[in-house]
Formats: sequence, structure tokens, C-alpha cells
Amino acid sequence: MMHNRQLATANVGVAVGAFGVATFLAFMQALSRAALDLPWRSPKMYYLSVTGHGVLMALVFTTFFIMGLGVALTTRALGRPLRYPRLAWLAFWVATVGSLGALWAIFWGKATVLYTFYPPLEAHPVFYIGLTLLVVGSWIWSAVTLGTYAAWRREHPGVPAPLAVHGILATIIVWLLATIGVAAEMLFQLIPWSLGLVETVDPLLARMLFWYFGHPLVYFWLIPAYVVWYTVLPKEAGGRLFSDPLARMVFALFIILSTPVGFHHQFMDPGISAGWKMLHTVNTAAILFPSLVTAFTVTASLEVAGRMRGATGLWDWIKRLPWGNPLVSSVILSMILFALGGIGGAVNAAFGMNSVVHNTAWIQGHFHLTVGSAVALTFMGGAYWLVPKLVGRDLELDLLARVQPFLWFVGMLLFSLANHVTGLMGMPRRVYEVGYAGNAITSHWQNLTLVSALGGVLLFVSASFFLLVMLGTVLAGRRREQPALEFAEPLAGKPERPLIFDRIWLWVVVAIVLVVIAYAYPLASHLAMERFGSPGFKPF
Amino acid sequence: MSDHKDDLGKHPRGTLAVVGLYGLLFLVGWLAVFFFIYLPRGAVTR
Ligand SMILES: [Cu+2]
Repeated sequence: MMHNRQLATANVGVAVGAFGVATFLAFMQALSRAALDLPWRSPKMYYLSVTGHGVLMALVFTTFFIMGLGVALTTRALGRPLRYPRLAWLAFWVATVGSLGALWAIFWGKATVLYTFYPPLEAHPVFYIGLTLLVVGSWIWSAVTLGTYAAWRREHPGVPAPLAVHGILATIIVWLLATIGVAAEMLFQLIPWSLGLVETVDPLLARMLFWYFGHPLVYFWLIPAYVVWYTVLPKEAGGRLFSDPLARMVFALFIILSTPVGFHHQFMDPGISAGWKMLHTVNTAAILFPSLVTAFTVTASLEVAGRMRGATGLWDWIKRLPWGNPLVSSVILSMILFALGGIGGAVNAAFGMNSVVHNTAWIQGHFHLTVGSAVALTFMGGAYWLVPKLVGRDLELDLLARVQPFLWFVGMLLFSLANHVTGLMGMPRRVYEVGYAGNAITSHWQNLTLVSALGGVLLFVSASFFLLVMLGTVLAGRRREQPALEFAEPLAGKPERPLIFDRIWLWVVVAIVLVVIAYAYPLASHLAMERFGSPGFKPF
Repeated sequence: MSDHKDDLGKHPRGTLAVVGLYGLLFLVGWLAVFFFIYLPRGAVTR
């Protein structure tokens, strides 16, 4: 049976709530970008909304869903309850209170700094302190999960960890390593500065620390999604996991490669020399590899499922997949969108070509395929699968659940492709008024913003379906014993002895070495320079 | 179901086809941006 259900339910519940609010903000933004006349449309409203959407989706929804999913998967896979259940609840409450604080600052118009909170844009201290508490909550959750794993390990020496747990451990290690950067930025720069204890802030140092955190943040979102792809999807599709060792290799590679790549977000920043940017470029190219392996292994697992259902030809296994199962369709569609995002990502990550897309609408087009689809759509599919098991009720309104992933897919294609194209035309991202007061050049992209807005409307309808299904399930779903949470069996059977990929400590050491190589010198040389801080700016 | 079990040990042909097509799309997409947008705009070449 699954342990600590209420805790997992509480975490997933906050995640879904955050998703609901963020969805509404996104809808307004999509219309606003298309310059449609909305009530209260104003620059302040726009930046407030973009900040709220980014923080709620990228930080609150993801973190809480991952904590909830993590609790459910680890307790089930290890067959034991959490080691320190009270601490786990403390994690939930600290993260919740922190998130509420940050949201208070945003919705009271005191933090129009967007989810990357680059200084010298300045927010109310409660915004920074709240987000720090969200991270602290996630640290406590990490410690509880590690403690639970350690207890299981003592009882089961010499056996490899279940694959799902191996993935969750990789998630936690990546997260602990990554959050050092943002914690340093918050504690040594943003919090004292916003409290008025120091007058100026060093924007470049803040950006280095933020992106030290910001890229592995992406893998903190993505690895749990991959855990669903590897350990849940093959089972739900009626097949087997094509290869267990390949999956373990992928998780190990993420531990070592997630962090030493942050400068690929700073190609245009002055103050970091080209050689170091190039090193991060090479590491970034390397981190494509585990995702390509994942695309192969998961697709092969689906092919196994199709063949076990009787498919014989080159393509008909695709038709035999259970497309009516919302977890299966969500994950497959999220993979297709992610695959498209990978192509654009290789453009972003190319040192020279990055200049073509830098700070344009291309970027939001890109990350809505990655975090907005590979992660968010997988999590929605995961919720259809997990929430009924958590609350012991049937999935309600399942027709909506079946349609929803396809609506998301079409909406996201429209939204994302329009943003990629307008980005290449030069339309900036994060700008309230992209018509430049009727300048002729902007008329080309103005038409395409309507396509993006149409995509936004479809995404809003899709998200509303998801929320209705969730609400319906929790409130009105038929109370019934649900099938147990089960993991996919590997095609070649479970590994009996640990592989090199199971030697987590080895990978932690390699990861730290790579981080030191990639960051120690650039950071030290930056700190050794004479630095000039900036005062804060509050445009609204 | 068991009739097709033998198939499972073989190479996943369908997957290789899908992955191959994707690789092609990846190359074409990336190179298109490189040759038709990046270079004409006056790339930094040194
Ligand atoms: Cu990145």
C-alpha cells in the first residue's frame, strides 16, 4: 500500500491550486500580448501578471507536485512510510507559508520583477524571503526523503534502489547542488539589499548565481517527469520498460551534467569571458545526450507495449497504444512537444546563434515546450493517474480528462510556433507593448500574436478541463478501492546487483568536481574585480 | 499476446525509424536557422 497519503495529497493539492491561478493569469497575458482590449490592461498589470504566472507555475506548481509525487513514489517503491513524517509536514507548511508570502508581494503590486527576479529590479523583501522559505521547505522534504532511503538501505544492503527511487534521489541531489546558488543570491545579496541593509547590488554576480541555479532547476522539474516516463508510462501503456540500466545511466548523467552549464543563459552578458562560455556550451551539448537516450528508451518501451498488444509492422504499434488513457496520451504528447523544443534548445545553446533569439519571443516559445509541456503536461497526466489513488475515488469527468491532453497539444503548437516565428522576426519577450505605437515593422508580428492568443485560449480551455476533473474527482468521484500504484517491469527483468550508475556518491563527487571546474575561476575572478553596485529600481 | 513475445527481443525497428526521422528533423531545423537566418544577418565569425 501507499504510505503518507494525506501528505502527498496536500502537496499535490497546493500544486493544482497554484496551477489554477497561474492559468488564469496566462490567459489574460495571451490576450494582452495580442493588444486585445482587456479591462484594466496596463503595464503594471502586465508585469504583475507575468511575475505571478512565472512564480506560480515554474516555482510553486512544480515544487509542490514534485514533493507530492516524490512522497507517493518513494513510500510505495520502498514499501515503507516516511522516516520523519512530522518533518515532512513541516516541509509542506514552510513551503506553503513561503509561497503565500511571495504571492502576497506579487498581487499587492510590490514585486513586478518576473520569476527570474533579476536585480537591479527590486521587490518587497517578503517576496525574496517567501521564495527562500519555499526552497527551505523543499530542502526539508529532501532530507526526509534521503533519511527514508537511508533507513531502507540499512534494511536492504547490496540491492539496487528501485528505479523510481533512483530517479527521485537524482532529483534531490541536483536540487541540493543547484539551490546553493540561489540561496547565496538571496541571503548575501537580495534580502539584505531589499531590507535596506546595503544600498547597492551587483547585477552580474546575481545573474551568475541565479543561472548556476536556473539551469539545474530545469532538471529538478524534468527528472521527476522522466521518472513517470520510465517507471509508470510503460506499465500504463500495457508494456515493459525497454531498459532499466539505460534509465539509471540517464539519471546518473543528470547528476553530473545539470549544473556546470549555466553560462548558456548568459551568452550576451558582459564580464564573463568567451572561453568560459564555450566550456559551458560544450557541457550543454553533452547534456542533450541523456535526453536523446530517454527519447529512445521510452519510445522503445511504447513499441514493446504496442507489440505486446499484437502489433507487427513498422508503425502500427503506435495505433495500438491506449490513447484513451489520459496518462498515456499526456506523456506521449508531452514527449512530442519536448522533441520539438529540443531542436530550438540546440539553437539557444549554440554560442553564436543564441544572438538571433536572445530576449525574443522565441524564448517563451521554447520553454513552454519544455517546462510548459514536457513537465506540466506530464504532471497533469500524472495527476490523472495519482490523485484517484491518493483520495480513493474514481476519476470523475473522464471524458474531459481524455480530451484535455490533445487540446493542450494543439494549443501549445499554435502558441509556441507563433512565438518562435515572431521571435525570429525580432519581437521582444517580456515587453508590454510590442506594437511600438504602430511602427510599420511590428505589423508583421502583430498578426501572429493573434495565433499565439488563439493557442492561449485553447490552453486555457484545456487547463480548465484539468481543473474540473481534479475538483470533480476529489469532491464527487465514486469512493472505491483503487488499483495499487504499480511500476513498469523492465523487459530483461530487474537488475539483481547494483550497477556503476547506482553508486550515487561517485556521481555526487564527479558533479562537484565539474561544478568547481566550471564556476570556481569565473566566480573568483569576478569577485576579485573592482565592482560597482547598482541601486534598486521599482518601475511601479 | 504470447504469439508476439518473440518479437520483443528483437531490435525495436519502429523506434529506430521514429528516432531516425527525428534526428533528420533536428538537423534540418537547426541548419535552417543557421543558414537562412543566422548567417544572412551577419554572423560573428571570429
Ligand atoms: Cu538552461
